[in-house]
Amino acid sequence: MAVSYLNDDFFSRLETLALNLRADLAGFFGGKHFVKTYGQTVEFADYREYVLGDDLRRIDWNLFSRFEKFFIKLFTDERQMHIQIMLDCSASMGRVNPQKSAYSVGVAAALGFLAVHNTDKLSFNLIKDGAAQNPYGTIVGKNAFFRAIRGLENIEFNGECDLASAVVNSDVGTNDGLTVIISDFFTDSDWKKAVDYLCFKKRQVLLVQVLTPDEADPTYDGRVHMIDAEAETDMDERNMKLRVTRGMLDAYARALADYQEELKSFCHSRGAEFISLVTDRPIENALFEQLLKVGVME
Amino acid sequence: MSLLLPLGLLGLIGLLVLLIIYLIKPNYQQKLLSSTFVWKLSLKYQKKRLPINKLRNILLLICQILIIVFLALILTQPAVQEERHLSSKEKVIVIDASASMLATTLYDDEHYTRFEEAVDGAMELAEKTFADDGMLTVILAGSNATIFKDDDITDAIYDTDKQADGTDEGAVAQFYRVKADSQIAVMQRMQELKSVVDGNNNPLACTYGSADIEGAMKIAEDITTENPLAEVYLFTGKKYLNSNGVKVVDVSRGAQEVNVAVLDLRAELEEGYYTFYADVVSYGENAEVDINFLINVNVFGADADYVRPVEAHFHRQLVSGEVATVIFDTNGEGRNVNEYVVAFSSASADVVYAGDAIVEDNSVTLYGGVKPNLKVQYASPRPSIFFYSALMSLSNALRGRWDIEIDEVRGETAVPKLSGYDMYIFEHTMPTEVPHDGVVFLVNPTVMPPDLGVMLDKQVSGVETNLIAPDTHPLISYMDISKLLITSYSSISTYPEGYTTVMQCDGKPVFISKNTADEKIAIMTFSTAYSDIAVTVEFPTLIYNMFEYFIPSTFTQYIFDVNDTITFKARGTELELTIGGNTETLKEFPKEYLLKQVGSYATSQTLFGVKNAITENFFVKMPTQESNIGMVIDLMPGSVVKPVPAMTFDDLLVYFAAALVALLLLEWWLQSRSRI
Repeated sequence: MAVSYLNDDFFSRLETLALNLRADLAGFFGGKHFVKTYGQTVEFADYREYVLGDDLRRIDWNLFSRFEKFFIKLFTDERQMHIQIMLDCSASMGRVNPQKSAYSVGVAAALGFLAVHNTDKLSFNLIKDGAAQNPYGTIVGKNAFFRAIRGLENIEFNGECDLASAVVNSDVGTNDGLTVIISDFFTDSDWKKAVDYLCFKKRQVLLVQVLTPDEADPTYDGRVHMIDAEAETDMDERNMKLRVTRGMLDAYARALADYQEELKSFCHSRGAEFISLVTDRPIENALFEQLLKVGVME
Repeated sequence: MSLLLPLGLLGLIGLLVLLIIYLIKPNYQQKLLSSTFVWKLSLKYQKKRLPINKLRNILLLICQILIIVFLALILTQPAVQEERHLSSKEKVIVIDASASMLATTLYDDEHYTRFEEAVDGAMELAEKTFADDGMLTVILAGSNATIFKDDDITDAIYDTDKQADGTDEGAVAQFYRVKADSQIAVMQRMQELKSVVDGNNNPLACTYGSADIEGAMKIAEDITTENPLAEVYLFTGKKYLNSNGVKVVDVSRGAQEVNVAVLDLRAELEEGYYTFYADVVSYGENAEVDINFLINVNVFGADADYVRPVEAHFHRQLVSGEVATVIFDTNGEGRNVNEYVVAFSSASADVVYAGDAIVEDNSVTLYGGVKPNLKVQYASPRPSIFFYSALMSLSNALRGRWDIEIDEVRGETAVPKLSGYDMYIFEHTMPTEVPHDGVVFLVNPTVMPPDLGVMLDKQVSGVETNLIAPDTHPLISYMDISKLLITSYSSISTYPEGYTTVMQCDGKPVFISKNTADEKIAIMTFSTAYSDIAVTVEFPTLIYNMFEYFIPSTFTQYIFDVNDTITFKARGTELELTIGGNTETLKEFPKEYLLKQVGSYATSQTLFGVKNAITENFFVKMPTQESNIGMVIDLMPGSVVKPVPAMTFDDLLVYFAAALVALLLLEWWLQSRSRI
């Protein structure tokens, strides 16, 4: 992968940021994410009447003197989340334009850095064909993170991608964090099924679409024999011959916009988030704008 | 629409080429995309909104096919057939201005020529043409056919440089296919045709020779080529059996016209005496005529020569159209006069008839009855038999032109004469001074006469050397100099200005000559005894050339027809030509001269300082056929009748070219906006 966004300057600018996850997640003990359950932190949250079985040491005696009832103090809880980043490693993500794969890895690394920076658990699931591989295991701490990053820079993008199968067949956990799927979503596989499954597992879901400028706004015209990067032979049905005219380009733009709108509306209907990034924009700007906008980053 | 050149449809082969190019050229550029997923989605949108997409895809191909089709159609010269609409109001008037048109009749106590009648008829036709708003061209068929023009009338008639071939804009511009706006000028100039007359009161526009009807018809043909419906009128007194499409307007007056003429006069030597034959004829009617002969007989007396006029008169009944020969015999028992004519300076025959239509052909004068005497002196201490033989054979050959008398002066002590001869030949021994009244030929001089100013080199002997001619010269015409050898010669070292080198030996002149009005000298500085020139045909040729070069005949015959061209040669530098009291001086020779007037011409030359040293005469008569005022001609020359095509073609080339340009622009636009 010739193009790389991963350097010290890139990560240093992420240090002031953090992921903003849903409060209804359960997570794991420890961590920095506030959840709506009460815990053992020192930060006061609320009062409630004493019931049998409560710890007598938590009774607030000042309130008992005023109301002659027993109330106990409740404190907020902070949890450690498990951030799963699923990266589409099919040929469409890097075979034609290496910048697209580098950009995707950069997005994955940025989100991963935010996770480990906030003491969350992190795992990179690389989706190839119908499976999601987790070559770096669960990453906790920056040392393990940077080791994984070096590995990410050398992965190969080839083959196809079946999001639904990969997600459903992988161990995504339950109600314990955020799942980020980074892909161009130019696939015939049922990505909706993947999102539904993750929602069923009560995970917060973020879909990140990465497009090259040529995919967002094609500049070529005339008679073009389009060869799909994932096609195995010239006779593959994904290849097509087309006379690209101004009308066709308009149709392309409308088709892409409608498809993105479909992605977005489906995600909203499931409580998930969707952002689309174009690789000609600086990766920091894209992340800060889009993620802050949808509330995943704070 | 018609295709004038259907073979141009072969250009449609270009369609095959276009199709082959379309088949073999790569139609699609290959492009590797991350995914064609969105493109497949976009097809739904495209199909919905652009149903004529397929047509657009082949729009460029259709355009290119149309371009090739239009190119092929342009090659076929497309045209639209239409009925031809041509005007029949155009008239071409040809006026015969030959000598026969001078035939005069008495009309209302006035003499009136055929030519005036023709001009009147032409003017009437011209007025009618202009009134009908037609176009008119007037051609005057004189010695040359000339398009009538708005200029001085004499220039219009005699300007021979402006031929009637349509090339001279000055002549053509005025009255060539003119319309009514030129009517006044045309009518004025035509009126002038009649009013400008010569000394015999004949219209000056009329020639005394034959008319160039053929040239006139060529001009008319040019017009009928442009407009096949144009009508050609010929105003003439001659009859045409086949007028070849020309409307012939007869201006003759039939029985009122009688013309008698002397067609020819001959003199024949019979037993040393002349007999004169005059051919006379009457045209139109039988006529009783008087024929008068006048012979100026040269009498060679013992003391002096003189001329005595002798007359003879005859009365004849002439039958119309039959040539009668009247014989004036001066010899034998039946001779008409008691006079023997052995030489005559002139002989004339006149025919007299009261009602004669043309007077210019009533008389013919014959000259040349006296041969000039040419005296030659050959002086040599050792006469060459070759010289004498050459002179004798030349004398024999030229006896028709001259009586050549040869005097030989031989021997060392004999003294040649230095005057009184037309040619002096000095061989070996030179005179003390050069004669000044004749041609001098110096052969193999040992010492040059001092008054010549010519110096000789030392004699060269014993080596065979070829003669060379440095340039062409009349003295060596018909001679091959290069094959002649000489073994002894003295080259000429210096000579005065005015001499020309005729022959050279080793680059030095050995034969020079000078031919002016006052000096006629030839110097040959080698002997015939030391050269093979004398034993070849080149030598008599050289002697003949000397006569032709130094003593040429002024002209070669004594009777010419009007419009003949005579070539004058002169011994001097000037020749005066006199006709009808008018004298003209000619200075460059040989000079070609067009004879336009009927009558006797006199020539006079100044030679060796003597004025009128040579005087000669010749006679110019009307052409014989012009005397025949009732002449019938079989066929009109030229072909003025042109086929009138029923249809004409309007060229569509411009429209097809415009369409082609539009298609090319459209094709360029489609190419530049292939994303449309």
